[in-house]
Amino acid sequence: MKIHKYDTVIVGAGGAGMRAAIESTKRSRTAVLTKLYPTRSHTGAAQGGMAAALANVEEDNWEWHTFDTVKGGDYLVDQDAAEILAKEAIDAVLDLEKMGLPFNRTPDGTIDQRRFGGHSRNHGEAPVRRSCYAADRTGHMILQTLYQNCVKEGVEFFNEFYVLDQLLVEEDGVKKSAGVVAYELATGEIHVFQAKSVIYASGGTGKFFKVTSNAHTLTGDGQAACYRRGLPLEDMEFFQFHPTGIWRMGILLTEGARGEGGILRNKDGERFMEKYAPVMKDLASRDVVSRSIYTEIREGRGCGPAGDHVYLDLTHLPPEQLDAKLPDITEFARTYLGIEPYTDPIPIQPTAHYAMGGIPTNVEGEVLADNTTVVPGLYAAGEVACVSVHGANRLGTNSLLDINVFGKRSGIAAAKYAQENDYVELPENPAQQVVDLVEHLRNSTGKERVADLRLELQETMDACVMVFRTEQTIKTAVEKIAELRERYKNVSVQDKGKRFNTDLLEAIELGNLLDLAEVMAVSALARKESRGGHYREDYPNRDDVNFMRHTMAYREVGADGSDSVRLDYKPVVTTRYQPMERKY
Amino acid sequence: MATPTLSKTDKMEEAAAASPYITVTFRIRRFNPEISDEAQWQDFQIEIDPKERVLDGLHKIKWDLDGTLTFRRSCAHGICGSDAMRINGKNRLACKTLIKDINPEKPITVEAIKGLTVMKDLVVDMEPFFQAYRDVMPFLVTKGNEPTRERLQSAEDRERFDDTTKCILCAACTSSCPVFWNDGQYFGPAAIVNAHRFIFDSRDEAGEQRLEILNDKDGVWRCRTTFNCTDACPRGIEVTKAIQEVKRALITRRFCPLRGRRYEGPAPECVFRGGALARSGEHAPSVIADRRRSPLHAGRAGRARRRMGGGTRPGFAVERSSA
Amino acid sequence: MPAGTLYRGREGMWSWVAHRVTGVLIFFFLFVHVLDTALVRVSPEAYDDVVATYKTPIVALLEYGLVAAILFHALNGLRVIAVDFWSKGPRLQKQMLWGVVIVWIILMIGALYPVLGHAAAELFGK
Repeated sequence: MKIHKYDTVIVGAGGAGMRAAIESTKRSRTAVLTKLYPTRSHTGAAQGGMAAALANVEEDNWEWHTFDTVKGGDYLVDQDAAEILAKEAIDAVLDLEKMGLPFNRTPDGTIDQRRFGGHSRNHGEAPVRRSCYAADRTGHMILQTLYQNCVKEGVEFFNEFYVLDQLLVEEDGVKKSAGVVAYELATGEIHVFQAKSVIYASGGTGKFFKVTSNAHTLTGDGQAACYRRGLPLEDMEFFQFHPTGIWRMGILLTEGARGEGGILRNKDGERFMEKYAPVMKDLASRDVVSRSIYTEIREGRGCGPAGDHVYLDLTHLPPEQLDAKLPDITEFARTYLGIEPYTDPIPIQPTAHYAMGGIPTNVEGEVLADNTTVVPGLYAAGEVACVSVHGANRLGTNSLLDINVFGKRSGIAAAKYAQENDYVELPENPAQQVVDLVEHLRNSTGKERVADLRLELQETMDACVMVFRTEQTIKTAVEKIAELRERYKNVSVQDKGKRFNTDLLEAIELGNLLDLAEVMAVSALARKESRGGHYREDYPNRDDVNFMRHTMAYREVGADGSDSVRLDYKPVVTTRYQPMERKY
Repeated sequence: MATPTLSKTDKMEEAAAASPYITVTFRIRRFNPEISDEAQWQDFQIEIDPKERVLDGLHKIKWDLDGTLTFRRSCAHGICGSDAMRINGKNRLACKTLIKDINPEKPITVEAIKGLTVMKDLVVDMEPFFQAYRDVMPFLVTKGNEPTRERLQSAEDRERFDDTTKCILCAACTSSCPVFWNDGQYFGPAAIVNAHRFIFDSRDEAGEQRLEILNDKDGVWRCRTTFNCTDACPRGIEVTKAIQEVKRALITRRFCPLRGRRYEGPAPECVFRGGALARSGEHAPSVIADRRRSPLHAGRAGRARRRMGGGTRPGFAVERSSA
Repeated sequence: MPAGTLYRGREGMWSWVAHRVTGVLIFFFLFVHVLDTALVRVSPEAYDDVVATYKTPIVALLEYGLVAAILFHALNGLRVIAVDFWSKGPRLQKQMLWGVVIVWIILMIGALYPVLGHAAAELFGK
């Protein structure tokens, strides 16, 4: 076991992690731990764009952006956070451009903007051009630009280090962060990183669904590490199902396709979104579009022999526009489906895409231990965090924005904390939990296989906790997850080695997914209303009286050692907007 | 409201509904330093839908047959660049290669990319590759005051370096280069592509320095125009063309139309609208249209070369990675 | 550690290999040629003797091979110059290679009589 000492440790080298690193490395001695290499992070898969009220193309301002964000989140958004997001968006985009990001340009040479789902002018009047983009590779360009600037600033990376535990030590009755414990993939060694401040930027949890746009590595490691140490997870029941993922594969086709004029059609060729969202149509909020697609499918108007998907029609757009603005997704259609988007419509279905919930933080990125208490020295930013700036549903182009705004804020805050505070003593045997877990899995002779359990989990989640949920389906999920967690105790791995043992890590990641799936299902069961991405067929309306509040889930360990989920609630911060009926 | 008639989409879906599984043999080059110093081939037979990806096949093997098979992967759709490997003798991304496209009737050979040390099975040491990338100063360098809003850039200027922005650092190009196989000190196509991306970015001011870095015995002159890189690139970047442009820039020192000029506020109409004034060359800071851009001074370039010590490779970030 | 399979390159890689092989062969030929021509300084008879040994059918075949190597190296060399200096060069490299090969074949057919005619006459009579 090795022990390292750093002022600030950042877990995750995606957009949020690297944006935080760029700030914190200038102010404190920083190390970034990532289970991949920085440029492999899933920020790179984001396509559509980054929203900011630059008003380069048409009139716009941050207050309209704030309103759209709040409405998009179905009024579960903490409005102070949304205001900060929208206000700081402009600088966030300009900062990236100054760092070198090659945005698409207007004829005037300024950053070009395009329409995107849910973004409107004047509180929903009509779609507005707010999304700053780089072809359909905005995420890739952001990731590359941030990595380039990390290289420039000399940021120190520990690549292929999996953070498996968060160390919390009680000092003067307050739980403080002491550091993290990580597993080095190349050698199998355990490392303890003692740090004054820790920032989690480790991404989402999409891999507990089967049809998902998420990478194989998005297994909720950050959320699980904090949750297991008794910290709460907020709003875990809210998961976004992006309307346009490639049929059966889940590969994302950006909302920007609809922003460029693409249209969703059912088997009769009808532009069905006109029925569900008369004003914004195909550019309504993502949860609205996903539900509309599934409604069409359920009512027998789906396409294909099994009627299990609809079409994204780009055929009426000029080929030059597709080549210039949507080159990557047209290539996906050609490569993975063998069809030609110039002339053929693309089969799509909703795909599990984004976790609105996560580690609760305040607007400075400080992690909360409960509704009011902050955990000193612990921060989170990006998809892993829940500020909550996306509420019950995230608008497109707000995540690339979120990671930059809150990545920067938490980077500065964590570095400042490190400058002003001292190290917390490491607990006795800090690596014990990780060592025990690793050795148990390595030496286990159990009969269960990781891949089988994972597939069963994914199929259950897809069937029971996806776009449409009912009490029955969620209960089925809860039971199935409990069964899988029992069986997980008997899981074993084939690879018993120390070097590059990805078999072992997949087993550990499955454990994370099971814990988080349980939290999600239990939270969903308790929320007897429909809001944003969480839609209950048995409670189809939004209930602002009883449920306009955030869910906070805690891990309770019973006397017999078994653990369960305890739910609590946190009020929503409202500043400007009172909840209204959400129509697009 | 065009109703799509029996299109390729319909036919594809019908085929998918009746999709046959076929038996495919994967011949994988295994290497586990904890067991033996020798690498060897191992065959695996699986049932798979030919429309699936090689990566799906590898996962099937790992999850159902042999959990010790080790490979890198993440996004599974050609964006992250983790899973570059040699498939049937050519560098490709495992997640972008469909089984039906690579002669599945014969055994499909899968091995690690060449030129980088194999750590285990299909995992190689990427550190030398990333070091070469860091050595070309792959970040925007600007001088003087920052503008209040964004730096202006015309659509043509943006287009100039668009191709090389696509690089995902998968190493398929560099590890397909015979020069690189022979000598790992060569910068390699990927590093040169990323240098190109900045040299030809009108906002960047360090083009000279980067050219000097590449003007080295291990730099751009090692390229023998073998074109393996261009063929291997999963993003379709014209790598050899980019390398050629860097070579020509070194010779002619002509690479950026907007050198040394920065704009604040609204763009002068002549520059970006490509109007008659721009074409006539009357207004100097015009865009690519006018090739009679004044070249950089030999004196400055010469001093830069001397400053660089004739081929130093400054290191930048400290990256402690697994190997 | 052994390298595994041979890399399956395409036109670019194979033309590079051929360019290098022909280059090396031409180099060794030149080496021999400089030496044998230098014999002139020793004595004209020595030179004549050596050159006489070249007048066999096998050497004629070797000469044909030499012509092949030189022609390919020269034509491909022009292609390499185009790839290096012409802005459309890299994009058209495959087409240019096919052009090189076609011209090379034509020229090699044309060279059959001049290079091998004498040797053929000797072997097979008139």
